Amino acid sequence: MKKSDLVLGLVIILLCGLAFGATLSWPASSSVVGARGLDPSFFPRVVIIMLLLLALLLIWGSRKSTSEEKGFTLPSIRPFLVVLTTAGYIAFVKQAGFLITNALMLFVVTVIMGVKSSRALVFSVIGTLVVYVLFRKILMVPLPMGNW
Amino acid sequence: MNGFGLYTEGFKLVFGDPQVLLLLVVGSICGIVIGALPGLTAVMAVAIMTPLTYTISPQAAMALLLGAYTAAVFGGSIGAILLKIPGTPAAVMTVLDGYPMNERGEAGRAIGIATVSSFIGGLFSVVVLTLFSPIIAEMALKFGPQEYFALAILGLSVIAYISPGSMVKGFISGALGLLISTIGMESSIGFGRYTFGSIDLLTGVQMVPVMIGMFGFSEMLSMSEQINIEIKRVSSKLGRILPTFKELRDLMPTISRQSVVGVIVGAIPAAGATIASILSYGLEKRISKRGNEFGTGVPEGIAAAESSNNACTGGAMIPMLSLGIPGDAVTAVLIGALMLHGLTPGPMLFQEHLDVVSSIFILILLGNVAFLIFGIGAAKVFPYIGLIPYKYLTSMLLALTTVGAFAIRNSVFDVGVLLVSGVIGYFLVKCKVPVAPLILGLVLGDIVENNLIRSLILSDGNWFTFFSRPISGFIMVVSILITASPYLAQLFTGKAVRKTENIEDEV
Repeated sequence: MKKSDLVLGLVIILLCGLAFGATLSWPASSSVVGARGLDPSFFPRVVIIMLLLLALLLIWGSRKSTSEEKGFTLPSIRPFLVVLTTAGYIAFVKQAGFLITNALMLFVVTVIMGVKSSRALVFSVIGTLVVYVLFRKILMVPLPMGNW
Repeated sequence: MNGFGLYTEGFKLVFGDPQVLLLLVVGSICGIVIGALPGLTAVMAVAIMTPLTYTISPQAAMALLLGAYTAAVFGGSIGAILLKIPGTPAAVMTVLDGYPMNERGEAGRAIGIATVSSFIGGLFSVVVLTLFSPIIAEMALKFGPQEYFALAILGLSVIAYISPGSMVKGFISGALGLLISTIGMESSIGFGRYTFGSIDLLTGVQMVPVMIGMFGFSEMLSMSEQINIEIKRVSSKLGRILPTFKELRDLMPTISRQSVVGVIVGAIPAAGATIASILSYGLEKRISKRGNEFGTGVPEGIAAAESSNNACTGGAMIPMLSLGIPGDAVTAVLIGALMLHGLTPGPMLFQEHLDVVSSIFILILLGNVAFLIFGIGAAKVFPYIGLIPYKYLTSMLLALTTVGAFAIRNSVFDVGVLLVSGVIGYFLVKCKVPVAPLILGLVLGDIVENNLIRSLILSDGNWFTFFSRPISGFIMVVSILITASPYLAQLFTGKAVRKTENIEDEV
């Protein structure tokens, strides 16, 4: 039994339930179109029903399958830490500005990747400047400068 | 179509602005490097570079992205030959003969053959692209909503079918993409679906951050799991690189045959370069005189795989440009990039922006020339790709993806979209669910929904309308046959036919 397939199937069924539930409160089209049931909720519901059937197929398949699979294991917590760092970037980039936030993010992630902190510091400064010049100076993208 | 204009209209756009040619060169160099590095794929190259193109002209944008696309598909062979790891999934078959040649001290010869084969394949595909896409675009002008709906369904069926592992998972991925595409304002009464009161979601989930997230960010997360993938410098002596005339003459039958295969596979909506090179290698093994030597380091093996996967590039552009249906994951991203500039691929693009279409033809041609020059000229530095420190590369990728997602419309919200899609993509890959169908579903979502509703209005709610028109009926039947084929085969032979498994997902 493939545990990961079973879990994935259940997650998708849950998602379908939530997504379908949300459509119940949606308005109907008032035009002739609506009279045929082609409301804003029509297409999402068609997709949700398809997705539900597919999830059931997946779960069915996972029960039949005899192959002993490990399911997914997280070989390291590094991806999790990278995600957390990025979330921090999103939370602070507007207030603190691109330069500081990006340099901090680069530093933290480079250290997470196992680089000595002195080297990571140099790298994060240079890397941030490279990205800054590329986007701000060459491509003229307005980057957040923070509320200092 | 007004004949010659197709080839000349774009001249001024391409050659009138030095920036365009400069960006083509930059794109080509970046493409070769990204393609050559294991773990970084062609679609990742195009996805990460897309935000860079927001502020420049459409043809400059296409120069950078098409340069990167064509070069990255070629670049995969460098990793395959020198490191025994395909730089991109499309180069899996190049390892089989490329690495043995390297071991025999013929790395340079292998790279030379890969370069020239890729070039000829790519060149051939451009010719086919320029010949067929205007015809198809012309035909498509007569297509009704039923045909468009059927084509989109065909694309989703094909990508679910060819995706490695289970087809059910491919379809799940595609359906998730369709569901994500429904987020935001719908077109009938302007109701905001799944917005949860967020103004940012009212305009829908932006395609490009999702693409960078699924193809760039999630790959970066996977890379961060293994910090010790640093590869030692390859001490391969390259030797002579440029193939001799005689060598080329001997390889020409292989290259021409497999270029045709590559273009056809590329032109089928959603079937990409990986599938093309696998198919071509298998075919050539059967046809070629030296077929039984395949896998021991024969030039024919490299030529078959490389001409085919690069022929795919032009092939994949055919449905993308003429119908707005992506031919593979990369062209799905290219659609996103064109839309950033307000250009929607499809038959109307040929009517309204023939100059842009023409410039795309010229640029993809020049992209092939560019990687030919760099592939042969800079081959001496290729062994150094083993020196690139992955620890720093991961961090740099993170910086580029976050700022890239932000740059598209100066929105921190889009960085959040990047993060969420990156995490979803990471878990999907862990569950062995291919990501490419999701992106296709997202790109095709509007086409599917609008044409489904239009068809049903026209037919008074009759679902058989998709089967009662000849063209859409044909396409629908093909889609159903593709979907049902594993089960049909099982029915006829009495045993399960296993799909090609363990081939890396073409993400």
